[in-house]
Amino acid sequence: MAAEDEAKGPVERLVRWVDSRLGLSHPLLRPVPLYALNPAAWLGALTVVAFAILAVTGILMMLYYVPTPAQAYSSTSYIFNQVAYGRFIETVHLYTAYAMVLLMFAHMMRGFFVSVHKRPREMMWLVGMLMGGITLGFAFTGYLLPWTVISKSATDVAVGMISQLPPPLASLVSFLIVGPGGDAGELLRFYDLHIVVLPAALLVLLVVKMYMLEAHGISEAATRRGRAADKQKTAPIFPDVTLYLLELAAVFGTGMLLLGALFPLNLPPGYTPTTAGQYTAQPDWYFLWLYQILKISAFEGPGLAGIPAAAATGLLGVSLLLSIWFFRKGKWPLGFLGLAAAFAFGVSITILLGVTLLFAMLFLLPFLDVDEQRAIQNRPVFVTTGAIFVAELAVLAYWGLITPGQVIPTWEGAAVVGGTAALVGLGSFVAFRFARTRQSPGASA
Amino acid sequence: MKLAYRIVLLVLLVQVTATATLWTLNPTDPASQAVFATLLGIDLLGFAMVSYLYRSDKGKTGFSRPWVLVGCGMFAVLLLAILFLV
Repeated sequence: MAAEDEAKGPVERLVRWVDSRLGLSHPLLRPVPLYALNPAAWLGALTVVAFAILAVTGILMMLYYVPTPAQAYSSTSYIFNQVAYGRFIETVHLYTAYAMVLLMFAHMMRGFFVSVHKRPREMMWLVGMLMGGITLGFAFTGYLLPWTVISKSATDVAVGMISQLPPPLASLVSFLIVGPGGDAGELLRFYDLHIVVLPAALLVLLVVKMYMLEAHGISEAATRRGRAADKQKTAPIFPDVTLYLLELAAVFGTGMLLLGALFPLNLPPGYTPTTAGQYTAQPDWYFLWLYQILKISAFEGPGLAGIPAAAATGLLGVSLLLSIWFFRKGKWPLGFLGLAAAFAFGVSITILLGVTLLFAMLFLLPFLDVDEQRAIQNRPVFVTTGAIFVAELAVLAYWGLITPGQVIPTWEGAAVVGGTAALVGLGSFVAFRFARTRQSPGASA
Repeated sequence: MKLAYRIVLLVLLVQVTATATLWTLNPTDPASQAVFATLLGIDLLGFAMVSYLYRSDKGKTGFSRPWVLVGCGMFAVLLLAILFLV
């Protein structure tokens, strides 16, 4: 044994020493299948890395920040201009927060497409959805803290959107995040949520999710190439998987640093009611899609969830049933058309009911998509629905960005939402048709 | 000497230089802060490359030349960024 150790290099001996003392490769953590060693499978881990970067930079800023309306902006400005590397820390904090939202969304949608939500990982999906909500909560609460004219105006718009939730929910959320204390109370609540409540909740959920991940292991590969790979081939958690993850984290960190170096932040003016009047308020980019939906003239203001919602629900049901019937009969174009119509009606209902339903559907996905099929090519309905969902979010967000403060006529909203759904549905139909033709070249003959 | 070891030596040299340069910067000057971010990026990227080469060597699979070239390309981008920022 000693001779064998002697034969290894110094690096290998160091790795063995660290491993033996810390017990890193003790079989507490299961090894990872080799097919899972690709960046797409680690988007969730990168989201956690982003959270860690945010925690470090956030704690550094916390040393100087004062959460009162009178001092929030001046303390932010002090960090920016006087504190060593203050501008760098603020810039990296903001860009990493944006990256965390993007990574969370990419992680969720990748999971949706490759069926990670299926048995036995339903609860992991639910916990992940809660974590996604908390991530958005981080972004929402953190944006107000610098108390700049842009951040305060954007938060006011987003808080205004809460009033369009169903009434009991609107009152509860409004009480929780704004409270009765005016600007001072609002800022303090946002600060408390941002640095105590949300991190604690995220960490608890992270532990729960990691426990379930360890119990069930990484989900099975959804691609043919992945399934073909020998599942018995695994990599140990230390050093292989640990180093792999650290490499990904280092590359991600480099990207954030480079972005921060090339596009450093400039602090906008501080908030006063006068300066606020000179800006067209808009929420930050991750809420633009919601902002745009609520700007559509038919849906402005609360209390619209009445007859139109009931009619849209009925039409959604009929479209979905027709779509399933057409798919079963092999009439794909009509099936996709039904699906696009269902999505358009679904979006209408979602708008009318205050977007609650859309998230309820995503949250309950494991109980809606119960089929055993995992492969993307065998799940046309859900894959198409997911693609339409992503496209709608992107289109609505961009549309919201270029039309700040502008009320959108109902017909225009319906045309864009429905048109996007129809286009993506058609594209998906062509892609699935092409994939089927390639799978069975003799089928059409 | 193996090619992987030569690359590691070169990367370590760049990392040491970057780390030493970090201490010469003015921490409140905006341009210096941008250079600081870039040098820190070089250190992180260097770590990723050394770790990758170690894993490849340990797994006896050999490293992928395209990946190492991508890493070198990123180094070049970071170094160019410094020139741009100074």
